[in-house]
Amino acid sequence: MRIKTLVLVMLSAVMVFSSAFLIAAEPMTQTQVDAIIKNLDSKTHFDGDYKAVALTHTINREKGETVQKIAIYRRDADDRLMLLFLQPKSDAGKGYLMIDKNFFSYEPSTGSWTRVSDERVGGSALNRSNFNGFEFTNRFDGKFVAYEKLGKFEVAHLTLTAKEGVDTDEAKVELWLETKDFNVLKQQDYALSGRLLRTTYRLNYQRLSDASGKEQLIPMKSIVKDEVEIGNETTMVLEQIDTQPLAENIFTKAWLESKSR
Amino acid sequence: MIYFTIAFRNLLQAKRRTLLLGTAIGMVTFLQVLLQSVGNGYMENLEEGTTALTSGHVNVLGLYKMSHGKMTPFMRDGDKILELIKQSAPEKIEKVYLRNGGPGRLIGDFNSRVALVQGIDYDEEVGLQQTLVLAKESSYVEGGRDEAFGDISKVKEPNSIVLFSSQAKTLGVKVGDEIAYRAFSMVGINVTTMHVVAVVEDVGAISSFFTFMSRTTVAEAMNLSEDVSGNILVYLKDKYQSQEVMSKIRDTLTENGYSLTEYEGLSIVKRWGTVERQPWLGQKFDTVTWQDNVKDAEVIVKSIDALSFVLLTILSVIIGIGIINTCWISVQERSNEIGCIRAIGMSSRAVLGLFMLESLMLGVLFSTLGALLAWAVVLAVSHAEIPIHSQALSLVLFTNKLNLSLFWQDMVSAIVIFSTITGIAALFPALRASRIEPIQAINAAH
Repeated sequence: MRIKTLVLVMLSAVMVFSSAFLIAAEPMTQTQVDAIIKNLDSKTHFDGDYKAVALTHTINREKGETVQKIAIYRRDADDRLMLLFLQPKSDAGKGYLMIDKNFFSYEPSTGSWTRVSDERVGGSALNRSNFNGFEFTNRFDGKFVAYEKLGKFEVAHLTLTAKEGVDTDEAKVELWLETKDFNVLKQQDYALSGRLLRTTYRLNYQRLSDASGKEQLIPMKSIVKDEVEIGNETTMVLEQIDTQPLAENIFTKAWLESKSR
Repeated sequence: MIYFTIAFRNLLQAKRRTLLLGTAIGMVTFLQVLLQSVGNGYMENLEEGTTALTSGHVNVLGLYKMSHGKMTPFMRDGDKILELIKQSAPEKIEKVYLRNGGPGRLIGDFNSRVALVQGIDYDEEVGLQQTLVLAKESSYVEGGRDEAFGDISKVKEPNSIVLFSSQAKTLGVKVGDEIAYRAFSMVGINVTTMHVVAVVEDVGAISSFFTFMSRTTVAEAMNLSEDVSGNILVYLKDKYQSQEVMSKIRDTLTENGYSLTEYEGLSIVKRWGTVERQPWLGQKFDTVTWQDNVKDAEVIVKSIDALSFVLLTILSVIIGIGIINTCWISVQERSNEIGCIRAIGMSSRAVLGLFMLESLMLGVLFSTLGALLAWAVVLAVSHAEIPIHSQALSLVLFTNKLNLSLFWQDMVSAIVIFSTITGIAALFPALRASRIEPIQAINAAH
């Protein structure tokens, strides 16, 4: 299975890199677009486990500024995600756990678990996708728009439209990818009504190797601007990234509950 | 009859004493009736608010679970259910309305708030049309004009929303502005731009949580298919038959193969977590009456009742002591008179009756006057439509205008209670008076 994945990734990478030489002259073909999207999913998903600490700074127009420190635990093979709030003291012990596509929030003061939406993790502008890898291939159809300039970067602009019958919060996603490694620099999510929901900037990509030796690219800094509640914004910086195997019991409710006892 | 004449003349003879005691009795009765009318007015506002805005007299809510632990307020085949409900008690049901909706977030330029959106068919819902009144701009905009703007009926137009005054104030919007509506639906979240077509006066605390759009707008915002709705509001000819009609509705739905949640006599808001955790999947229906929905708020009425009980008990004791004292003095002063009437043949029982009658007449007369005065005040206040300027108070009282409500039963019971208290208070001095021997009374007078 791993060899198959590796071959697929390598093939996608070859297609992506070969396409890079053509971009200056011609628009992308649909095959190239599909390959880029597939590669985006692949290179942001780890074959093994992943652990990191996120420092977030949120500006909320109603609640003011907050800084949070969150431990992130991921096991992409099983679609598992655990977020444990470490700081500030008032949030310490709170957390989120994803089990079978359901996202649960834990409140240690009451010991209660609540099923929540993917949005506004810990009251920030971040949603679950900011902690996970991309999941575009099965949910969206991509289309090339144009080569554009994003600040000093040459970027390829793609539009992803939700596939028929797929349940997703975003009906449309616009991506701006730098043309060397095709990393997403800017992302805009649109609601079903066509309204712009949020803009995300992903910066400072860093290469990592996961447990299988597969090379990953992780944005060390993300800036998420809420485009509905204008003024709400969160900046997230990742540190202490570790791809060593995690303990089996981490992705359980009991583990999170034990952290606040 | 002679006893009535004697008792009445005795009251007239001691004018000052009668007037002072009577005023005290009248004022206590007045207070009791007025407090009762405050409680009644509150319950009236609450009932009108909840029944017209959210629940009807009987509410049938659709609950749908796609997976364990995730319940949504959706109902399939709403039109079919509506017809079944109509047929369940046609002689008792006046109107039935289908609504859709669910929780969402209203987002203004500076603030946001969570609200339960109700998708309505405006032309159908006559009761709601009567309840919603356009609010003056000054009530929700700092320095706004003293005129009401907007058109509630425009809620029928696509992407239109009607806000309550307190919501508009929090969001910082006025008629004609736009807000974002973040709808939480079964398939995720959708954000739609809404036009504020009207801002209406608050109808108590409930106004903070509810808002209105057309059913079509809600369906589009929540990405619901045409056959999906939320709840059915049943209005009855006699709202006090809600339990009976609800039982019939439950029987009809069960007979037609629909599953229902267990009836617990509590609003679904209080039971949501418990029902969500129950191990069933698919569609179920939940039924509640308007009484179930206002149960929590009855605490406020009970508090008013408890306060008035304590207050009136203290006042009744004071009045009772006053009456005992006055009657005692009266017995002392009139011992000569008592001796004479006993000497010419009046029995001790008749003397007891005379004193008791005197006291009862005093009680009935002045408590009636007190109750009538309270009634006049209630009428005047209701007619004057006195506005409540405090937002907190208006939210608690479920109205923007002071509303007092009085039933004749309240007046009669107050009169009976205070007349009885007066009578009981006079019993001891009257007994003493009846036991005086004629010779003893005449000697004591000399």
